[in-house]
Amino acid sequence: MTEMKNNLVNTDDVVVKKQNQFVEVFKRLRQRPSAMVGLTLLTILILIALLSPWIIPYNYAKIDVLNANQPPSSAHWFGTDQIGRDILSRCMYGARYSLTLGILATLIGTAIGLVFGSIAGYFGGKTDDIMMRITDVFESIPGMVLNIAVACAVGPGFFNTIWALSIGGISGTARMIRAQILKIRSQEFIEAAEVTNCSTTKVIIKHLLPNAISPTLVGMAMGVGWHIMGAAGLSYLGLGVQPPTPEWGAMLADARAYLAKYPWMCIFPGVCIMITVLSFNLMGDGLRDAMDPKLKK
Amino acid sequence: MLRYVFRRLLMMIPVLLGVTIVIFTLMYIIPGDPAVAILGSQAEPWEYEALRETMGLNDPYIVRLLRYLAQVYTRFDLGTSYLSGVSITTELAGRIPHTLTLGFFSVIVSVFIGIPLGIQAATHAGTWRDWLPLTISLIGVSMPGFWLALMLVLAFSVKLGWLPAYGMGGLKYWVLPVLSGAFGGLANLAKQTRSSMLDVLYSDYIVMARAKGMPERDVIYKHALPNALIPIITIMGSTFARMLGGGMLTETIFSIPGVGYYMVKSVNNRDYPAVQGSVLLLSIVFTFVMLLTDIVMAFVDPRIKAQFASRAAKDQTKQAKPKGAAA
Repeated sequence: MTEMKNNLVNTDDVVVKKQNQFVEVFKRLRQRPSAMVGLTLLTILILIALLSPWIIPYNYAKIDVLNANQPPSSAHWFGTDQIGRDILSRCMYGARYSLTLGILATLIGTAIGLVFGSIAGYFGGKTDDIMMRITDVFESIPGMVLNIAVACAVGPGFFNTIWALSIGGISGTARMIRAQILKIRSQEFIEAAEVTNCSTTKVIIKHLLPNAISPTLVGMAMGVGWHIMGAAGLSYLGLGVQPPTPEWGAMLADARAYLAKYPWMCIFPGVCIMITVLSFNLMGDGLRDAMDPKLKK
Repeated sequence: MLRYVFRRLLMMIPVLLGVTIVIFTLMYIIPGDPAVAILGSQAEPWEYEALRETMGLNDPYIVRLLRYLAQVYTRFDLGTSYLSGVSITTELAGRIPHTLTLGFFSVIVSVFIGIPLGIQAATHAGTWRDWLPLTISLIGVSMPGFWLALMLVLAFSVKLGWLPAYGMGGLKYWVLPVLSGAFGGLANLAKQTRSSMLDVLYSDYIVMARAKGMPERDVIYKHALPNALIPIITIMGSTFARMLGGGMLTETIFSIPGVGYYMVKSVNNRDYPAVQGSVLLLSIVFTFVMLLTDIVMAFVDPRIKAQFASRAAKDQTKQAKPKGAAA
């Protein structure tokens, strides 16, 4: 009985230690200028997205034919588009769509991948074999091709785009989580939890996942940037978010015809995509370095 | 080695069957009637019914799936396009060379610029020759390839008028597509080369090589690079894969009649057998490229070869035993 209690205390210790580790990771993250640049950019972008209905200089959907095709000026910093909508306002409001698309697609893909990967890793054997063959199949279809095929099946639109994108992220997460869980599951504290009659779901959720999740965090930061580019690509092809929604990819699709005459319509939405993806990549790089045990002092 | 390749090829069969099932199912669940897509909305009801019957659309899912699998894998027939009535296999066979050319040259360009850039970033760590390529590659991986393509068109076709903006023709027509296709991969490769070179450059055997007075060039290219090469080769494989996917956008922007352009057009025309065939073909190419990457890796990395050799030896000893058939 005392031994059992000791084991229980041990499992709790692991959780506490993990929280400390997150604090430590954040401390190390703060020492990296590039990660801080990423974090700052990201904070600004999120603020713009949240506050956009109140801070955009013009109504993003207001048509003003008299002021169509204006080059950037003090009145319209990014210029206006073919029917006179203010591009700066559209870009700022578009941050909402792109960020939501990227973050939701990543969260859904990661969540399904987590469940899939932890089941495969925990049960092993036949279950693992079958599940890993399924991920093999999904990984043999090039990412963007899979996105387009799913987008074709579910049709265009904001929420359908999220589904189309999230499917691409499942197999990667599943594989990563499975590998982590295989590494951890033979350790004593898992055995202890099992011996103390802890239910399978509880073992996975309380003891395995918290210890397996850190590489997933890096993958998630990178994944958001990746999905934002994917969403823009889908929208550009007309398979994602549809105009007149001010999503950046859809704006680019609209502006393509005016590339030669009014290039600013094409330039600014692309710059927005680039800055957003860049900030997520900087964060991801920083997180990976901060979590790398080899670089620990 | 041959056995390794053979086994990998065998493992591809279930995976490709799986891909076919997945893509067939995806296209199966799409609402809408192919008969209407072919005949238009003006035909008589009995005409639709007759066409559905001859196309076998009234059969249950599993029958149609098995028929499709048999059709694809025994006769290499991907069906006919709803729109043009042309065989999809012929259509794709004419287009795949363009897609492969674009992918191949993009990988070549990214390898020949990305790897040297990464090496010199690693050997000059901390100086401008390090942070400049690093910044460029960070921006490169954060830029959607299709937007870069638009910007290149804007700069080199619209403003400077040096290169054609789209279409097919001589070498000139390939410059912008290859550049825009290569940039993301180039950036990725430079980043990976830098970090894996940095991992290697401080190992004991490099210190040793320098200590015995070996010229720096030899230290880098004969000792460090081969050991840093394995993650770089993985990235090369995935670069090609990205080119297959991102190629759809590049091909669309530059009107290159490749598989990706065909697929995007078919999606917009609701020509589902054509979409199905394109996805399948791109996945087959992708799987072969990944296999090739793994084989190259086994050649480069003596550890993988050794691992395989020891396994083969073990198999043989097992077979030598009278009852040990289970190898």
